[in-house]
Amino acid sequence: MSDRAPTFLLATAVAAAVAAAVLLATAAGSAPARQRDREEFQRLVSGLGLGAPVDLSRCAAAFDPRDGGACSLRFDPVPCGDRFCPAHAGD
Amino acid sequence: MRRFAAIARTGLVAVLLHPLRSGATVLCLVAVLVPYVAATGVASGLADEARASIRSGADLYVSGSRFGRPAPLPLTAIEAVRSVPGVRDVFPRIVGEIGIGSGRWPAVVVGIARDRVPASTPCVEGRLFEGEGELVMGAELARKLEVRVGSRLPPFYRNRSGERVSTVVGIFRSDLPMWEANLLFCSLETASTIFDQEGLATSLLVTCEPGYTQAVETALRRLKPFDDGGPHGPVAPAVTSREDVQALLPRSLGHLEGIFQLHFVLAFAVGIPLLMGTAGLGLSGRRREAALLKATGWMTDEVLLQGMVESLVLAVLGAGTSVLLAYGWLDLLDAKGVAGIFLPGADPAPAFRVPFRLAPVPALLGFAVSLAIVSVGTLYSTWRAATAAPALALR
Repeated sequence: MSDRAPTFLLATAVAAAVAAAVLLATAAGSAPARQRDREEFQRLVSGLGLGAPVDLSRCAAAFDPRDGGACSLRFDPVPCGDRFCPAHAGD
Repeated sequence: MRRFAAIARTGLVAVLLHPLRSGATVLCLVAVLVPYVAATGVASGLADEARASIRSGADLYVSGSRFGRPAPLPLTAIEAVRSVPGVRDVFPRIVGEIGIGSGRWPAVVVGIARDRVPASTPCVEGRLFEGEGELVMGAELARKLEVRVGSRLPPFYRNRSGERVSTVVGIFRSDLPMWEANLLFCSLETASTIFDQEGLATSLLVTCEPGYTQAVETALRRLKPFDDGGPHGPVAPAVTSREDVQALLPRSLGHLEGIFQLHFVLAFAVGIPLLMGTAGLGLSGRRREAALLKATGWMTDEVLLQGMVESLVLAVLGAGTSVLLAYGWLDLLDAKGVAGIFLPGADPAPAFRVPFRLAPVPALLGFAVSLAIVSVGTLYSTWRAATAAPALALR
């Protein structure tokens, strides 16, 4: 093992930690340009979407409850089936 | 201080002396931490998108109710709502679902009056709709249907007056909020035609004068059911305010985040014995190393310090690499392979940008747990050997 190997290992660990810290400190993923695009889209459609589903097929309430979207399973096929809806079981 | 640095350096040497063991420990940490950091990042990103949706929406949403279930509202209800004191603006919106294409892929149809949308927007490749039968399509849906700007869609709906060919005049950019993915954005008239529901809307969006939201909400809840003279009788109003929706947000997204965290508690629980084993718990080699150091004059606390530095380096490498890999996976690879797990209805390789925001707390928590587990694996064996007589430990 060369004499520099421990130093190189330390430098690698510090570099990984610093890079990770920079990503976390800058809240990577939420750049100002993206925020502008986000606001522009939401203004265009007057506010759409609140949950993880990307369509209404699984649960309209989980997609966006504002348009009167009740849970798809709330009344059919079994009354109070929303208790078992995988999109928000237990809520 | 120099002595401390020299002992710490031996901790680095210890990592390098057993590359296989060190590598296995870091890999185990990465395997457990990357999904955890990524999942909590997606939950945070989703929460940001949802807050923007609430901010940009109306103050109040009036929908209809029949049998206590959602029902469309007649457009004649607009005047009744507008006449409530404190209401600044009211406009109807249609949000509905339809299957489209040979695969009957679910599309979210959103219809808004043309005068409510701007003339142009940077969000769309192409242009916004102007006339009837013109659609702006979401990126994911456009990919599934293999359509481009200008493509014509054969009739995908039933209408008593006949079906018409629709034109895709614009496609949403794929880096917008994920709810654009399966969108068919069109005029109110086009949406009415698609669902064959003339004169109806799924909700009215109400903007109130500053300070009047509460009063308007109360007044709207007291309105008589809307009756347009149709054969099915009146429709009772149901009102949802921005505050109601904001109150729902922590519950719904907290539920999602809770599911992720529960799975990763289980993953950590399974990973603990593995990590402790790879870090050295029970390994005879570690006992001999500690015994040799004691035999050459090292004190117990110096041996433990070496072990601590070794654990710290492994934990830092594991946690740091995990954050970088999670970022690369979510940003550069667009969460390929796992988008469908985080977001119901999304393809494993979605055509939209999966929302995420890497937050410090989950990463720090992951690092702390990793350090604790690796330290137990390293230090326990080291301490047992360091506190025993070297001759016994070397036997």
